Amino acid sequence: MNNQTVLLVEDNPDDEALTLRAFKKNNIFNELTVARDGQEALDYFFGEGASERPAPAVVLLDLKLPKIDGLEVLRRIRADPRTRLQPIVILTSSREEQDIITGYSLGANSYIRKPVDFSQFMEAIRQLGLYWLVLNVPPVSK
Amino acid sequence: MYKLLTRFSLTQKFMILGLTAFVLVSALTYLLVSTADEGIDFVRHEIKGSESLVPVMSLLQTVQQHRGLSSLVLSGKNEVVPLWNAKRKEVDQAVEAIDAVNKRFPELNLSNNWHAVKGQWQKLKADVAGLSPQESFHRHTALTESITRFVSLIADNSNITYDPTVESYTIGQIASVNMPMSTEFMGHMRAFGAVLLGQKNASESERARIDIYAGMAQQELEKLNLTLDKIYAVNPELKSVFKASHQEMESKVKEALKLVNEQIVSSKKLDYPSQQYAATLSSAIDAQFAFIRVVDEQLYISLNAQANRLATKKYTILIIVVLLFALCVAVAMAVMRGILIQVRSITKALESIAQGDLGARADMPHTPNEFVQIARSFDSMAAALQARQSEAARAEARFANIVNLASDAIISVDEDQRILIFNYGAELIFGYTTAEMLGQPLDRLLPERYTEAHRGHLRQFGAERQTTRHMNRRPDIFGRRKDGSEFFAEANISQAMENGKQVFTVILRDISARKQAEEEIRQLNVNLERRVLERTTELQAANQELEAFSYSVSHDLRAPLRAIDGFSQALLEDYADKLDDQARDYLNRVRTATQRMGHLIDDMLTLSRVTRAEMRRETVDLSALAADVIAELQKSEPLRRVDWHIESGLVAEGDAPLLRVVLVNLLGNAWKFTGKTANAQIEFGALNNAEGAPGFFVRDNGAGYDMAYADKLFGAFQRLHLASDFPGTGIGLATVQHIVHRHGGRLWAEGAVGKGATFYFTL
Repeated sequence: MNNQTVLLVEDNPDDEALTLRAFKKNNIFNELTVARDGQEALDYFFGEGASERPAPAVVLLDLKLPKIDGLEVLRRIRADPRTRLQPIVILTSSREEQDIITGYSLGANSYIRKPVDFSQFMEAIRQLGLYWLVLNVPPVSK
Repeated sequence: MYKLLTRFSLTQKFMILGLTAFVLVSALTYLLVSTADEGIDFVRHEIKGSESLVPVMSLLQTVQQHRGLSSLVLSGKNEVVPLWNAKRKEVDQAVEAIDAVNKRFPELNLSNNWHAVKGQWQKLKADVAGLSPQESFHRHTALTESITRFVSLIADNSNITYDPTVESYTIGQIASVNMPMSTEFMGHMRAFGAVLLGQKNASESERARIDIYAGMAQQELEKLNLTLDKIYAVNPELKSVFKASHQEMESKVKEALKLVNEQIVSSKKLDYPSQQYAATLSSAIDAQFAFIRVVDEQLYISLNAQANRLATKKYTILIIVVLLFALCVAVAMAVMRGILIQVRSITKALESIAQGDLGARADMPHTPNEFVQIARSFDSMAAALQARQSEAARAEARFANIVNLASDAIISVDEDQRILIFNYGAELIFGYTTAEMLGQPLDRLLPERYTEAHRGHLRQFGAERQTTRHMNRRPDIFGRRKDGSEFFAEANISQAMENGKQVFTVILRDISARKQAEEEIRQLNVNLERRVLERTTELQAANQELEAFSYSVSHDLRAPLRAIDGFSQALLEDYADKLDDQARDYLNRVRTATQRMGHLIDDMLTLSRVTRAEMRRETVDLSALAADVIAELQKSEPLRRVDWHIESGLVAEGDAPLLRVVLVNLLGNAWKFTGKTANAQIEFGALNNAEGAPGFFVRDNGAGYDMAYADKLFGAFQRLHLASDFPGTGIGLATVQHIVHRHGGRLWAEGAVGKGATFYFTL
């Protein structure tokens, strides 16, 4: 397991808390950076001091966000050559087909629907951490 | 000839025939009559001869008597001189009579011979006083011979010797040849015997000579008898005519011959008084001449009778010919009249028919002849014609009815566009009466601005030889009413040839009302389209709102639920030691409720998506789809044992994702409701239905349901089971029904509590 950070883009504090809890309960100790809207997420990559910040091992991206929505964030990240290979997993409540198709079209690496049942949510986070943080070899390594 | 004759009328033909017959009959008649006339002339000639013979016979008799008297006078018997002179006058009288006859009948051509005979007599008369008895006798005998030859000449010249009939020929022979000769023999015997008795002596040669005379006279008598027998055989009546004079003559001649034989030929002494002898022989000769006169008379009668017979025959022939000709003419005229009457009868009937009386028939007799055959043929023709005409009249009446009852205007025009037919429908549409419009130009029914163009169209149509045309192919045909107002019209035009002239018929209707209705419909359609557009826009807006709502629901309703569930879990895990059993139970209930609400939200989203989703019809393998769904179900509860029966090869036309939702729900329900059934059986198969659309069913032997609540089966959020018995949201069947309806199918169910349920659907 590498120690790279995970960027969670989530506006809902409850979901943020539950995600953090799921990470902790699943013994995932990577640093979890939270962006609370689309703008914050983009600022992480392109804002002031962005070059100082490490590229996240994975971005967990909600779609329904204040200011700039998740799909727009995804599009911009993919549009920039510096970040176009950034692993991004869409983690959202939406099950809309349109969202799924658009997400993948814009280059999302994965699309995970957040279950209501917390036990299932826990399981999802566990597998997600295992895959992206342990098994997956990231495209860039700083 | 044949062609020439056909030019003449029947009467003329009969006249030609009559003329030909007349000429023929005339020629034949002429031949017959001329033949008869020849016969008659022949006989008339004979009659003239017979008339001529009478005075010649007197001459012969008187000359013979004069011969005897001359002998006596010249022998010196002066006492007979006065008698002799008287006799000479008788001879002259006879000569005069013959002169007269010769004058009357110069055609007998006797005058030369007669003049010789007459001259001979006149010379003898002048010489006789100075002659010796012998000389006188010879001169007289020469004269009598001349007379006898003259008689023969008369007989020859007057045809008596050539008469073909037995009777007149034989009588002629007697009169002209036999009897004159007999008298001559008797005369000789009288003269010679008187001389012998006068000298009372006769030599043997003298006796022999007189015996020869007697023998010849006797012969002549017998010949006469034979000849008379011939005549009697032909005409027995003559026996009575000739009998008396003949018998007298015969007996007197026989007496004379007996006297000659006894007193001269056989007598030694010739002592019989000569005067008595001469008287006896004279008496016999007179009897001979008396007989000759009778014979002459009979000859005249016979010849006249013959002439009359010939004339009668001729006139009979003429009368018969005339009568026959008249009969022929009468028959011909009757035939002609019969023909003319029959021809006239047929002609009259034909004229009646020509004038339109088809009931006319030729009035003919019942006996069959050529004209009756013609008349019968004609009658049957007339009957056929009548039948056809009445059929034509019916057809015409039907046609007239159709034309009159039609509400469309029916107008016929001739080549000059003059109106021939203007029906009641036309009256109603145009406002003119038929009487006003007949013979009027069609232009009056058209708006003036179209008349020229319309003439052009009609001419073009006429030239095309196309039989019918719908005029409404051209847009906006207008008619003009009597009051000048115009109207939209629809018209068909047709053309036909009538008696070699083009007739155009227009069938036209006023479609103003239809045009108006069409305009109204068009307006309505425009309004409708506008309203549909408005509604569609509204609906699209509503749909977008609904989508936004669904999006919100899926995100915003699930997030709090996840928070409730998550934090309840956190409480149970992190504060377990501080919670008693009741608190834990409550938290578990909170979690159960939130999870259930999560399912509800998911199902609602499915339902809304089913409603909104675009349909793409394709061929879907339902059997494979069902197997897929079942595999998933089996995976969710690997330990359950269910007896599956999936019919293979089930195929339907439809939207694959939506049909998957259908099967997920129906098979899922079956799976769910057989959860407490031992030997669970689930069947998926094709439905044999009469609706034509493909039908399917899903059957299970699970919990079933009460049919009394069947109407609630497909309502959203309607449930017939407790969630604790069988979990569910009550949206599944509503979704299925939605999908089935969107496919144009039908969904229904059968079932009973504890006996399973069957769901049927068509697509």
